[in-house]
Amino acid sequence: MAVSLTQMLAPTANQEAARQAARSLGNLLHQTPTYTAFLGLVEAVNVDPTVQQLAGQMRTHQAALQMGREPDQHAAALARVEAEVEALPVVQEYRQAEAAARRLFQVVDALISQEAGVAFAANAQRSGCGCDG
Amino acid sequence: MTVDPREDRHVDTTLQLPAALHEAARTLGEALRTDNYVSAYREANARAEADAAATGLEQQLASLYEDLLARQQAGETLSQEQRTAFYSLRRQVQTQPSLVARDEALAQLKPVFADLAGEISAALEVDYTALAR
Repeated sequence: MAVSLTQMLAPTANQEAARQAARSLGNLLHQTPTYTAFLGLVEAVNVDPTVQQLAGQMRTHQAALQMGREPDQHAAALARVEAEVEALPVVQEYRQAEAAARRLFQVVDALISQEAGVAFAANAQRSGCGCDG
Repeated sequence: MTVDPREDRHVDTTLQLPAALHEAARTLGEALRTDNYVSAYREANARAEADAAATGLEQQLASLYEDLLARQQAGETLSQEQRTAFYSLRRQVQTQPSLVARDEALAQLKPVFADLAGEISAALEVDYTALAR
C-alpha cells in the first residue's frame, strides 16, 4: 500500500516526544530564578534613560564610521561611550545576570548533549556556516 | 565542525540543576539519542573515526591550517606552493567517502536540532542557542 504524503510528513512518535520534551525544558528554564533575573535586567537595561541616551550616541558614531567620516575620532568616541555604558551599574548587573544564565544554559546543554551523544546547541543554529573548529 | 558532546568549553560542572530541570534535559537528550537522524549520524561518525586514513588526513589538514594561520598572523606572505598544498589537502579531505558520509549525516541532523531548539526558544522568548553555547 502506498504511503501518502501526509503520512510521510507527519512527525513520528519519537519526534513528537522530542518536541514535547523541548517545550517542557523551555518552560522549566523560563521559571528558574536565574533566568527571570536575567529577563528582568534585560528589561531594566532597555528602559534605562542613561543607557538609551548613550546608545543613541553610539548609533551616531557607528553611522559616521559606516560612512567613513572622521574614522579615528568616531572610533575613539565610540570606544569611550561603550566603556561608559559598560560602567553603568545596571549594565554591570545585566552582565552578571547574563553570565549566570549562560552558565545555567551551558550545564543544561551539556546534559542534553551527553545523553544524545551529539552536541546539541552547537548543531542547532539555523544560520552560520557551522564550520566551527 | 562541532560534533563532540565533550567539546572543550567552560561548563560549570559544580552547578546543581533543580531536579525537574535535570530530568527534562535528560529526557530531551534521550529522545534525541533514539532519533533516526541522530542514530545515522552517530553511525557515520563512528565509521569516519575508524577510518585511519581519513582521520589522518583530517588531522594533517588541521595542523597545516594552524601552521599557515600562525605564519600569516606573524606577517608572513604565504607562497603559491603553500596555498596549493593546502587546497590540495583540503580537496582530499572533502572527498574522503567516510568523511563525506559523516558530514552529510550531520547536515541532515541539524534542521532537526534547530527545530527543537526553536521550541525551547519559543518558551524562553530568546534564542536558546545564543545562551547555551
